[in-house]
Amino acid sequence: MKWKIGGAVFAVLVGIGVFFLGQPTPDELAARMAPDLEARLKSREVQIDPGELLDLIYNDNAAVKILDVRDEADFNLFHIIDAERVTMDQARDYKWAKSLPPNTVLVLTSNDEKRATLAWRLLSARGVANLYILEGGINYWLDVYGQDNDPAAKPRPEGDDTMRHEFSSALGQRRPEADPDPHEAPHREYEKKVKSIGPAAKKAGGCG
Amino acid sequence: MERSRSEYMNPYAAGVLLGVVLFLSYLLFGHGLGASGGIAKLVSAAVDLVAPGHTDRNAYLVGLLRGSDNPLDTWLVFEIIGVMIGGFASGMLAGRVKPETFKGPHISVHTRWVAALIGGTIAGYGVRIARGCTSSQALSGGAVLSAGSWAFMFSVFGGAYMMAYFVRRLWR
Amino acid sequence: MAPLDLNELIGHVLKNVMYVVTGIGFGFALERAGFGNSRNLAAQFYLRDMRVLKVMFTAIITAMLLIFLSGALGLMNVSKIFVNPTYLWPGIVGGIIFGVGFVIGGYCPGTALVSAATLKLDGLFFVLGLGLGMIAFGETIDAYRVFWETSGAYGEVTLYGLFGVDPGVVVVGVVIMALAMFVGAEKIEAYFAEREGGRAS
Repeated sequence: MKWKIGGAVFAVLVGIGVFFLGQPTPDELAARMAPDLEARLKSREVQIDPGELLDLIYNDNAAVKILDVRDEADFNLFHIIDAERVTMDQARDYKWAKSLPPNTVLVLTSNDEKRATLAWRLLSARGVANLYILEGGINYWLDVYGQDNDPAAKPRPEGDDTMRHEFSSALGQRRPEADPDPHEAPHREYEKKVKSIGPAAKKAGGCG
Repeated sequence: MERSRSEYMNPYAAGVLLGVVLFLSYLLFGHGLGASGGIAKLVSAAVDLVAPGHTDRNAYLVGLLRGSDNPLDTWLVFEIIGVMIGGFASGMLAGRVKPETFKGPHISVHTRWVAALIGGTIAGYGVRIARGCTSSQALSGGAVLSAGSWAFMFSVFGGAYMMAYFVRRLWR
Repeated sequence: MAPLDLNELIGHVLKNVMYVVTGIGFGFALERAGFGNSRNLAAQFYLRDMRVLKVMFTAIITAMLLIFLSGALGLMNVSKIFVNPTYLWPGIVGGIIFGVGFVIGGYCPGTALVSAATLKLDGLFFVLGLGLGMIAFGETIDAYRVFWETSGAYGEVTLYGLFGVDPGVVVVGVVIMALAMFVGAEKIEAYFAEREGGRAS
């Protein structure tokens, strides 16, 4: 009998402890997972070339979703076709992260890479799978596929994340650069980084 | 033949033991335990063996086979192998491994076998609808506070209690 | 931080060995509790022996406390572990059907495996039945596939997400609920034991 009472009291105490300690916030989680996440970012294994993104968009066998984390003004000036604008608050929201479609390649993009990288850290810590960053961001995409495309252009990951290209009107994706024709656009050699789709850290456990 | 209750482990102690194993599963693998899923994989592998074309047409079974070259190479199958070994080991330690049939005092062994078969069939069907059993949904899903798992758990108790009166002849 | 990427740490084969070892622990605990015996399991539903309730809920709160405690301490990333997606109505309907089969057959899949492993013939027949039921499901699911795949399909819904509270609140609530159930269970068992002049557990 003593054991039972002791066990019961212990259970309640641990429960109260859990309540008071609280579960980590998304930023805290991202900070704790930092070492392995930073390693992946540093080795540039999750930053994909615009050429790879374009091929994915036109690949019938791949589902792709572009998550654009820039400000609304920049987004309205120009964004890649079918890109979805995402706020940083959403990136921190557990429910939103869980609602992302599974088995889809998710590509974060900002003007260079700064904000996209931050969002990548937050979402990866939440266990979002198949998540990548557009190398060089919108600036680099426009360098490559824009009207005055520059073959010598290089992505600028350390860039200050402001739009370098100017547009006179906010046409969003209603520009040819938003949806380059894969046959006409300049051919790019790139290192394929997207791994085959599948549930990542989350296994489909259970009898379903 | 009724066994004296005291020869089994204290249920609370056994529960703690089970809970620790369950926790370790989450710690090591990121998911909980399972049982019916392993049986389901074996069933679909067996059906595929006996009638290969059939599985292709049966979309549900295909879902279980697709995504892996070998349906048997999945953690559930390895786990249920372990479950049987563990059960056997515990039984050996307690001298409980011997062929027999547990049944209520007022029915025959054959009746019990039929009841077990029928009960198993109904249970197998229900488990597939619910996408899990007591191990994967009630215990595992329950521990991580999945709403659907808790709903399932209460439904199981509800269904069983409702039916108990009508089949009391089997047990009492 | 847990959960670990075992494929990377110890490789494919050893990982499968770990699964077997985990299963051994699982099966061992079930048999220790006496769940290889259908009479012990069925007795739950006649209020004579509340063992199933005690073991199940003790296991749930033990694992739950350990999981959320390690989450709070930063030892485990709780948002990365598998949470069974909620398919509300299939779960309820399936649960009721499963419950019916449970009290008729006297086992659930895990306990039936343990029972069969200790050479119990009723356990063996139950496992065979499971196979038949699953095949029957495969044959008939197309008739109500839309229900099965979409009805109440809310995705990953946790109790704390549902009520919009911190997980700790639900953890404490579940612990208290389980303890209350244990007290109630003991009272029920004592009542029947006295009435039937049998031994208390």
